[in-house]
Amino acid sequence: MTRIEGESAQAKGADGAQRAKRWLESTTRVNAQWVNPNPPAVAKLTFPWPHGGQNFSFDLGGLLKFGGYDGHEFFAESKNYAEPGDLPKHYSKFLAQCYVTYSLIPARSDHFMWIAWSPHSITDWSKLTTAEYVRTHVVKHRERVFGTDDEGEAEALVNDDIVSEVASRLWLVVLSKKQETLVISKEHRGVIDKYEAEKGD
Amino acid sequence: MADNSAFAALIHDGLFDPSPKESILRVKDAVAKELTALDSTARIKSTDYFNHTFAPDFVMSWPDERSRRVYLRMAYDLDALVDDVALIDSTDPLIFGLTESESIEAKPRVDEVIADSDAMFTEPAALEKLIDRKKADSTANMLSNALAQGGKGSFVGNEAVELADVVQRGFQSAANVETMGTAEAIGAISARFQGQQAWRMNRVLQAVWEGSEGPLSTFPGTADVSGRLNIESLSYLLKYMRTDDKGFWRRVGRRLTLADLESLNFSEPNIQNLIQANLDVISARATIVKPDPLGVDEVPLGGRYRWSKRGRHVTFEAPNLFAVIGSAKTALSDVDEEAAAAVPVEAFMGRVGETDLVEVTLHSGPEHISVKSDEGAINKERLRGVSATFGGSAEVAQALVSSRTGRVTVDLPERSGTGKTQSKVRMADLLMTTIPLVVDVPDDVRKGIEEHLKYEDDNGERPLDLLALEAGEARGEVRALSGGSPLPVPPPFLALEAFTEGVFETDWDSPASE
Repeated sequence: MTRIEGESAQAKGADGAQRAKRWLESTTRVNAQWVNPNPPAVAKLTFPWPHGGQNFSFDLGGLLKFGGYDGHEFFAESKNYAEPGDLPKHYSKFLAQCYVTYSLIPARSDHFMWIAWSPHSITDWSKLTTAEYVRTHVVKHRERVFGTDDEGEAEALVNDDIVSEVASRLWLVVLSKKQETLVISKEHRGVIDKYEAEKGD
Repeated sequence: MADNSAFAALIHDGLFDPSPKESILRVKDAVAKELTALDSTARIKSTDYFNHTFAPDFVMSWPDERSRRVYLRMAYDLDALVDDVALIDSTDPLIFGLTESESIEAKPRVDEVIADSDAMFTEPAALEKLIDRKKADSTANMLSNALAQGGKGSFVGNEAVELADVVQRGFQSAANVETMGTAEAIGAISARFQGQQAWRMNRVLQAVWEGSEGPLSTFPGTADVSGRLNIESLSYLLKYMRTDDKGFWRRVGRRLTLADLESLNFSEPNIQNLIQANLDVISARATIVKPDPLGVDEVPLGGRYRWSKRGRHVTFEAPNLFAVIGSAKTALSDVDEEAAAAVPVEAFMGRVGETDLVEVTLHSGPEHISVKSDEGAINKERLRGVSATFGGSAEVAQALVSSRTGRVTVDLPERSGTGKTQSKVRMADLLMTTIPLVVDVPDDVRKGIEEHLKYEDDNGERPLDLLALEAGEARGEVRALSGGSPLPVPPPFLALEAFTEGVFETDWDSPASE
C-alpha cells in the first residue's frame, strides 16, 4: 500500500508559524494546536494591550507533553527571517506581550517561546532572558502597557514579581533549515505515536 | 458555511470557543459522535492530541482488529494543509477537514497528494448528509460503514451521497439483473474503496445478482466463484441492511445452511428476516425440545416466536419452550438431557392433532409394540385398541412421522426429533413435526408455531416427494423412477409386530445410525 509521500519535500508553502509547529511537534513533546491566522486560533492567541485599545496576538499556542512539562501551556512567537534585521525590535515587543499575558492569565502562561531562524542582539545574548532585560523592554512599551509615556512613572508601575515570572518562562529557540531535518526519525516517531494512540487499550 | 447540519454546526461552534481547552473538548466530542453515527460498529478512541502534525486525533477500530487513524485538520491555509497531509505517516488515514467550505476548496490539491494512497479526505457536512440518508436508505447504511473502514479519495460536499446514489442504483439493478447500473456501482466501488471493502461490497452486489437468478457468467464485476455468499458478506448484510423486504432476504439466502446460521450473529434483528424468508431451503437433521414452563430462559426481546442462539446452537423459541437445532443428532450431544419419560397413549393422542403418524412404538415394561401404517395417519382408534392389549398401561416411546419434506423420528423420552438419513428435512418441518409431540402445547401456541414456521416452496415447485420414496423403500418396493410413475401403491395396511425385550424394529434412524 502506498504511503502519502512528502516529508522530505519540506513544507515549501508553510510560513514560519507552520514550520515552528512542525518542528515543535516533531520533538514528540509538543502539541501546537493553535496557529495564527487560522480563524479558530485567533481568539485563543489574541489579547488586548491594557492601554490604547489595540490587540496583539502570538503566532502559536498549545501544550507541552510528558515529563516535567506535561500539560503546560505555551505561547510562541515565530520569526522566519534569515537576517537579524529588526528582530531586536520584535523581541522587545514580544517581552512586553508576555508581561501583559502573564498579568491577564498567569495560570495559562507556563512558557513563552521565541522561535526564530536567526539569532539577534548577539552582544546581549546571555541577558535576553533575564528579569532585568524583560523589565527594560516592558518599560519601553509603557504607553500600551501602563498608559503613560513617562519613563519614571512606568518604572514605578512595573510589577517585578511578574517580570521575574515571565523571565523564568522564556525560551529562545533558534532554528535552521538543517536543524529542522535533524529530528526523530519517522520510524521512531511512529513507535511513539503508536504507543500514545494505543495506550489504555 | 453552507450547511445546517448538526454535527458540522457543533464542530464549527466548538472550534470558535475562545477557551482552547473547551474548544478542543467540544470539537473532538462532536467529531467522535459523527464518526459513531457514521459507523456504529467502530470503537472511536480519542487520543491526547488535537490537530497534531504527526499524531492522530482518533483511532477507529473494529472487532476484526482492523483500525484506522483519524487526523483532524484546519483547512484555512491550503498550502499548510497540503503539506500537513503529505506528512501523515499512515497508509490509510482518514483526514477530517474541520470546516466544509474550506475543505471543498482544498479538495483538488489534497486529491493530488493522496491520489496513490488509501487515504480519505472528508469534512463534517459531507458525512452528515450520508448519515442523514441512512435512516431511509439501507444501502447508505452499508456504505457509511464501508466508507469509515475503507473509503479512499475525497468525500466533500455531496460526494458521499452521490456515491450512495450510485451504489443504491447498483443494488436495484443487481436485483433486476441489469448490467448497466450494476456495472456503474462496481466501477464506483472499485474507485472509492480500499481493496477489502471493495471486495466486500462487490460480493454483496453479486449475492443480490445471483439471488435474482442472474447468471454469474454475466455479472459485470469480478465474480467470486466460491459458490456461496460467504459468512463475512452475509454478516455484513445482516448488520447493515435496513429492510424487512422478504424478497431481498430470500434472494440472498437461497443457499443458506444451518452451518451458516451457526456462524452468524443472532443479535442482529435481520437474522429473523433472513431465516423466515428462507425456511424453504434450510435443512436440519435433529432437534431437542426443552420445556421452559416459567419462561425464565425466554429471550426478553422480540416476538413470542423467534430464532435465537444458545451456545453455538440455533434455537427456535416459543412461549414456555425452546428447541435446539442441529445438523445431526450427534451435533447436539452437548445439550443437557431432560429426565423426561414416555407418554401415556391417551396423552399422546391429545398431542397428535393433524400429525401424520407413520409408525408408533408403544411399550409397557419390557414389551414393545410397533404400529405401522404405509399410508397417511395411523388410525387413532386402532392405536388405542393396540394399547389396550397392554391392559391400558402402554406408553408411547417413539413415533415415525411424515413431514412435508421427509420423515422424522420423534423420541418422546428424549424430546427429540431426528430426520431420516436419506431425507433432507427442512428445519421448519422438523420443528413443526417434533414440538407438538414431545411437549404439551396449548392450541394457540401450536397455531403460533405453525404460522411462524409456514413457508412456500421455492418457485412454487413441489419438492421431491421423499415421503413416498421412503415409504416405498421401507416396503422393499421397486419404484419406476425413469418412467416417472411409481408402481401401484399397495392397499393401506397396519403392521402389528410384537417384540420382546431387546428386540426392536430398526427401520428408523437412531443416533447410532448417524
